[in-house]
Amino acid sequence: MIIAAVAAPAVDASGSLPFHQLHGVIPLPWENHRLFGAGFLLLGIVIIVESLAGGVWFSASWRRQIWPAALMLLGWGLVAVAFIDPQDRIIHLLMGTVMIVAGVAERRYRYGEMRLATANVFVMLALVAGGMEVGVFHSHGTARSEPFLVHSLLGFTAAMMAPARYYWARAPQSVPRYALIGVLALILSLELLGLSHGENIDLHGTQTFSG
Amino acid sequence: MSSRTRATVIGLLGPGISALGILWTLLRAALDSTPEKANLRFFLFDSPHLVVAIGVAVSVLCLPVAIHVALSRTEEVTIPVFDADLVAEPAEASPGDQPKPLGVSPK
Repeated sequence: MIIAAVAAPAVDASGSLPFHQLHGVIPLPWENHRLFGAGFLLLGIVIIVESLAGGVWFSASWRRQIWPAALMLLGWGLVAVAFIDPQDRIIHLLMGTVMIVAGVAERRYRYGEMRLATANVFVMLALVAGGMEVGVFHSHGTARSEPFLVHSLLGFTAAMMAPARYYWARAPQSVPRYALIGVLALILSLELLGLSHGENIDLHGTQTFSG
Repeated sequence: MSSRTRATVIGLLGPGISALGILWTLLRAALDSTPEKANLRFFLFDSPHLVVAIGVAVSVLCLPVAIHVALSRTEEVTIPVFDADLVAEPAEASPGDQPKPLGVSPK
């Protein structure tokens, strides 16, 4: 919340940022889909390996921090989006903040500084927020349009990771329960990599390649 | 699940993902009659290319882990619990979950 409070005036003042000019630099929507798909593929695998390797994985401090760092990175990404994209600025900022806080909470749990139940509240909130960000705020078009359907599916899959996380927390040493979170991340990654909704035309009207 | 089985799965994840990416590339090359323009943007954002790249990264990341797991005892590969309260009161276990000792290794 502190981040949101501090950054809000700056975000507000950034309304004059040259969004259109930046579009040559910022990846297009379908490019973002694929980049995030690759990221979630890596994250899903990391979670599955964490479940299989257990104490061996967590014995290295840098490996222990991959998942919390990924959450924080996604959060900072959304804060950056809030600065660049004039649409849904406050929503992006708040959701980014939620994800950063979740990353901090998960890290604190992994170092024995926070109870699992407490950390879980923040992480589950971030997963639901992530699902809403993708499934609700990025869904454009009518209920039967391709972008709406693709984003709804993505958002639903992301949000499903929250109940999976709750299910795991009730038996934190269960390999199948922990791996389920990773499997959902893998499904999300395949949806991102495989599904496209035709937004492959840049702001100058030039078609890039078929998505 | 034995340590060796876990190590085998971990070790095969990276090459498996890369193989999936290569298969995807080959299938598309065989089935798509309108090939894409081969430029840097295409190379960077093409899904099969990204899958192959992630497969290579996973292989590099997981190879030492797989070797370490193969050499470890079963107790060493259980998921550690970093919450001291949960160690005091054992968590709920489903019928499919094998009961294991709760271990805390916060640092």
